[in-house]
Amino acid sequence: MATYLNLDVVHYICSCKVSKPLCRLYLCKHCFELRCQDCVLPEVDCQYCPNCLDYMSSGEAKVKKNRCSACYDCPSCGHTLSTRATSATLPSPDDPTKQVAQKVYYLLCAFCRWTTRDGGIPDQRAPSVPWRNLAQGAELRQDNSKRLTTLTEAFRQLALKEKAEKERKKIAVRKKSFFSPGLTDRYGLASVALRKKSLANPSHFTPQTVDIPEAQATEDPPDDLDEAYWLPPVPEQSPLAPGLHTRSSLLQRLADPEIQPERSSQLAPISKPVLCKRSLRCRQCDHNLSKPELNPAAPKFKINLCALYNVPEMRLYSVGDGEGGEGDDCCQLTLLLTNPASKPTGVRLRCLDSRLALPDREFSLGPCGDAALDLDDPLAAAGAQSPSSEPDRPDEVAFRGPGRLGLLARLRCARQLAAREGVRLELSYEFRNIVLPSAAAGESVEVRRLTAELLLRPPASSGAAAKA
Amino acid sequence: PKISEMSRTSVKIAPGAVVCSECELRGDITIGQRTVIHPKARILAEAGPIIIGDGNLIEEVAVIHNRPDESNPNEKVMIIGSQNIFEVGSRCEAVKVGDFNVLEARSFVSRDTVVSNGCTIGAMCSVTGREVLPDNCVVYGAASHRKVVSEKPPAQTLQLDFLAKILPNFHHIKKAGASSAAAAAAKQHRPS
Repeated sequence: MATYLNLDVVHYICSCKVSKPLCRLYLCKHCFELRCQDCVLPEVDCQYCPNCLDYMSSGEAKVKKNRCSACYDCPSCGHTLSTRATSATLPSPDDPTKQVAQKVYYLLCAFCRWTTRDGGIPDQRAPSVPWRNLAQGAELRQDNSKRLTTLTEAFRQLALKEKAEKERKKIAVRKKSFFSPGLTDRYGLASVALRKKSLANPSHFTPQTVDIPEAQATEDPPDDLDEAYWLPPVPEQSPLAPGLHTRSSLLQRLADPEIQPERSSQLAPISKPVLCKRSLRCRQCDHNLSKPELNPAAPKFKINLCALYNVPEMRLYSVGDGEGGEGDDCCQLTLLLTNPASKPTGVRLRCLDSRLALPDREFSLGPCGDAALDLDDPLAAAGAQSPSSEPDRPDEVAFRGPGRLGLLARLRCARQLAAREGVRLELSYEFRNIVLPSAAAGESVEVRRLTAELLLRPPASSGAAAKA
Repeated sequence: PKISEMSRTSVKIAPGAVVCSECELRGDITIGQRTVIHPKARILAEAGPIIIGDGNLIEEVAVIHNRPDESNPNEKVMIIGSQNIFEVGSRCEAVKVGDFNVLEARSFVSRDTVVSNGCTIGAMCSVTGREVLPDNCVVYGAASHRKVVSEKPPAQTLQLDFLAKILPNFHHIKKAGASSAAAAAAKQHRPS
């Protein structure tokens, strides 16, 4: 097939007037319209680690800082670290005097051969250990928790005070006219006014002023830079300057903002960031268009309304030469229509800008490949005959297959024009909407006639078509 | 040239080495003990003899080529140390290779480079500069990044033992000892 995966030839027009290939669109079965990635609202379902496929809810991920607890990335190149075991003779845990061969574990990057030994971490006796905390560079980590707790406490008090002030202002503004002494004395409401006023000034509950404690410097900044910071002069020819490999590269340093290692001996395994599983929602009607299973190891979907599974797909099957040789005008195109559903559907193609001459009647497409195998009649299963009573005319139908139809069309404009601007078509098809069971009746199928607008851009020259 | 090369083909295989018959050996080659050479490996001693040390692992489609150099036509002996691994498809034209090196799949080392000990040349990386690679150097990545790690790659003794046991079950193995094309031709003419 000349255009098997060429996605730019046939585009469907989304409801937002953007043209996209069908594989990038969703069909909202409540609005009955095509939706593209921009018409759709993504929501995060859960987070998962791309290495161990361990999934966690969003709340859990927040606690774990969006990182996997078991998997680590290489600080040198970014690939995943794998755990290796070697045996070493160590004093056995039972009897410290005896030396026993034991399994010790270390992390290794298979791509750049960085190991935890290069980071100064000794081999561990258990395979799963918080490697990151054991790194030499972990000491560099700033511990801001104390400072943060004092600050949060002070700000909490400040927030209480501001809330009380707001309440007081509200009460004062609202009831001022009724409770001013001039008016209240007449009706004996002075005592009520006084009580309200005292309630509105709860100064004995919150402090009048809130102190925000100043930060204290933990240590004096050094006057001079560390001598070891300066690299020895680089000899001109050496590609690996002595000492250069003891420094971390800028990318390595920025990949770990917590430690910001300057030396390569301070590189520590980086906890692997998690990815998220997302579900998509139609912006107009708020229904879900795509909802995957929570388990990342299961590629199934709970709801999958991809347009590929619901809308008949049209592809440019071949570009035939015109009858008068390889003319630019009037060349014959074969369009392939595929039915994705397991029931037959009727389709009708219409050209909107009269650049293409199409057979102007309804064709029925058989069910798609898998469902067709269940049919008793082998010919009908193969789709060799037209499912409807009308036989196919050879000048309209090129071929048929299970769920497929090849239509012959003739281009009425120059190929260059069609390739540049495209031909607008309208595809109307039957959509079987499975309505959820209502109280009285069972599951019912509603058949609706939907239309989709297409943009067909056949390639300009036949050379391109042959190669594609 | 082909005929003269063939007449010069002399291969000395040390006892304990496992050299499959299907590998291509051309020129003057010495193979050390416990070295395993897979079928379809090619060792071409074109510009001079090749001496391969002990415990090396030369996998399929690997090429060790002592290529004639127009700028320096003197015969140069190619010396490869011990415990090296030449993975599938790797190409080594370096004249001097040390010990415990790993040339990963499809890597390439040119004639000008001197590979020292414990180096790892990553998959698809090529090292072509006129230099001596530092010990325990690792070349990796699409841009052939370099870094030096603290230790050499581990020796593959388990793998070598396994191959020494399994390969003879499935392939014909060349016999140990000195053999040359002339002697082989003479053997054929002798009435069997």
